[in-house]
Amino acid sequence: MSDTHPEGTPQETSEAAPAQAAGRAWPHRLTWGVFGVLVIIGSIDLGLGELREPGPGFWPLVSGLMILLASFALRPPKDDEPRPEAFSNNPWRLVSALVSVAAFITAFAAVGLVLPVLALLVLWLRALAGMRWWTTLVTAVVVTAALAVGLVYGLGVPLPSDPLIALLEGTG
Amino acid sequence: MDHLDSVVQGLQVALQPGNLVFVALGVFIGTLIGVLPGLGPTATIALLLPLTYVLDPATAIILLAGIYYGSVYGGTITSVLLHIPGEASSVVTTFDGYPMAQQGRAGPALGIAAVGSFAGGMTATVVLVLLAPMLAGIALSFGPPEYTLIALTGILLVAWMGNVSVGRALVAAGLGLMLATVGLDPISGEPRFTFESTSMLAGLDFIPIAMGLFGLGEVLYNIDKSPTGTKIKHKIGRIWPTRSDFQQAGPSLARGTVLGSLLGLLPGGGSVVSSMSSYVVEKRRAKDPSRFGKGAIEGVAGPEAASNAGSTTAFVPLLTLGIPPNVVLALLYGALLIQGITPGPTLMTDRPEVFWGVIASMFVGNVLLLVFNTALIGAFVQVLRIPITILSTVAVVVMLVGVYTVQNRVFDMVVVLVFGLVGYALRKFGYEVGPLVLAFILGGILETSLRQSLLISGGDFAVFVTRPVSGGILAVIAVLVLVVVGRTWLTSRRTADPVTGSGAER
Repeated sequence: MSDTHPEGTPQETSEAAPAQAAGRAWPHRLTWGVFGVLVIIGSIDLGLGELREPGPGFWPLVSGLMILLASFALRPPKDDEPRPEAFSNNPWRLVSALVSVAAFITAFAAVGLVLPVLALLVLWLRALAGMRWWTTLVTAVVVTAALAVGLVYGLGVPLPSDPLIALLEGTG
Repeated sequence: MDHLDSVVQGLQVALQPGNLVFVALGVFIGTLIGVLPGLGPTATIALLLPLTYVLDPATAIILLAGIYYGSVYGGTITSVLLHIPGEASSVVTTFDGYPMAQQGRAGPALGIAAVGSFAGGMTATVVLVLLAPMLAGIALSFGPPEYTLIALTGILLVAWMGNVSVGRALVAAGLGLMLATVGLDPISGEPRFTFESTSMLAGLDFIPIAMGLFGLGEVLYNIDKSPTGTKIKHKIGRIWPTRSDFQQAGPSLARGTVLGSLLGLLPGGGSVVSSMSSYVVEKRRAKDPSRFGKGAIEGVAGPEAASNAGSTTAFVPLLTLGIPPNVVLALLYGALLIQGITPGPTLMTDRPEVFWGVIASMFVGNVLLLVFNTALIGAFVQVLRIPITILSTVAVVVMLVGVYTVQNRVFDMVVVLVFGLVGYALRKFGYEVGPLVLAFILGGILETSLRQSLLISGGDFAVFVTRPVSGGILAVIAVLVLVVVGRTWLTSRRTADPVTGSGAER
């Protein structure tokens, strides 16, 4: 609510940015509008029931209508409201972060905790955080060891079978 | 039970060595993440949610609550020293705190902020002790129609009071409500929006969604920015404010405390609204409003007292009605649910150790925070030397492994990844994830209570008007809507003449 913001605060005046920071409303209206309609169709499909005995689709219908109606009210941000930013300032960093997390999840399910955690830490600390090699390796090994010991021995969490832990325990 | 007895009982819980360690840990982590601009209380609490599985309920909530109000204190530090608000409610502190630092008065700015926060936090905890049992008593008579309306008010007020326009907040809230319906229908047991996936039959779990939207979403947002170093230019110097500082800021402290304590009680309230409102009040009351924005100590004292008072009294609706008034408390609500405790009017009698233990821990926490934010402030500032990407990296690993440990499901890790991207995209496109998460949490309560209300009344919506309490709540909502719409209409008429708004689109 814009009227909760103090009037004439330094923030506002310093952020009177030129036209570059606004955004068009129609792509937002269209995306949310279509999504709202899809939810409504899905709810009708589930069965709306009657008012005295609402069916499983009744409440999803309410949420769909809310999205659809609110989508008409979308407008470009004004004053001190957050403005849309470029989707990515640094696509390479973003994509490598996402891909590495996806790879981590796959590897975690296959070979357990130690190797994927170590690999993800090394990759992120070195490539994304720009740490030096030796600090990267020390941090990665310490964090991995702390996690493995804490989870497996401290909390007894059942993790996916881990060949490295098995090897260390002499059961592999 | 007498109030004093209950508080003493609560203090016994809070002062158990184990709990004492966790209060200290909570406010310590809170101050740290308050200082770090890249990591907020929501992300941190989301990150630590799995931990609540292994802790005792009272201890877990004591820890998470400490992180919340600790971050409200700590957020001040970077607002004053760097003009970077550590978290949302500290934005206001930058207006006058930073100019004070530029004038070489960083110490007194931080000092008065700490004293203000302490005064606000302590007073509001007393308000909480006095008010919560009373409200819980009243809430015992609430039925489904009342809960429907309170939950609805909560969502609407959060939408109105956020930083984004109402339309943007409401589409996000609608998405949250929709996501809450995924899984089996609570009444008929039919699967909804599961796309024939067995993993989705049980519904979307709150923890991975919160972790994705807040935790991973925030990390991705930080990753996308190139890492930049932060350097403190201003010397902190003497922290404790002088007598004349106290004389100047005293009345603002008192007003901020009262205002924050009241605003925190409202659904949608909490620290952000309280600090903003206090700043406006102080500026309007000032003999020379032009001093504001240039280093007026009242502009730091009032909002700081208000934000801490507001963040404390915001626990009243959570602990007595079971309605989280803001997003951080929605996460705490989720943490209680994980423990098998449904917050609501019966919490005080069913689980007094949780109810009174958490409240009493706030007295302890506020004392610790006063020490942290005056004597130890120099040490906390040092964490700014650690680049945020390094912390983010460790956070991501802990988050992914942590979410797996909750139910030992790899599917939850995938949910974190997907919602991390959703949270990132929403933020980039100018939306807020807060209303989404709050609506996701309240969606379950809303659906069940609305359907129960309709079942009770035989499909008659008049049930919301004819019952005295729900009728009253409805009247309050109507008045609020009218006031907001009226004011928006008036301001838009006043500013309508130069047609510049729509032309400035990209």
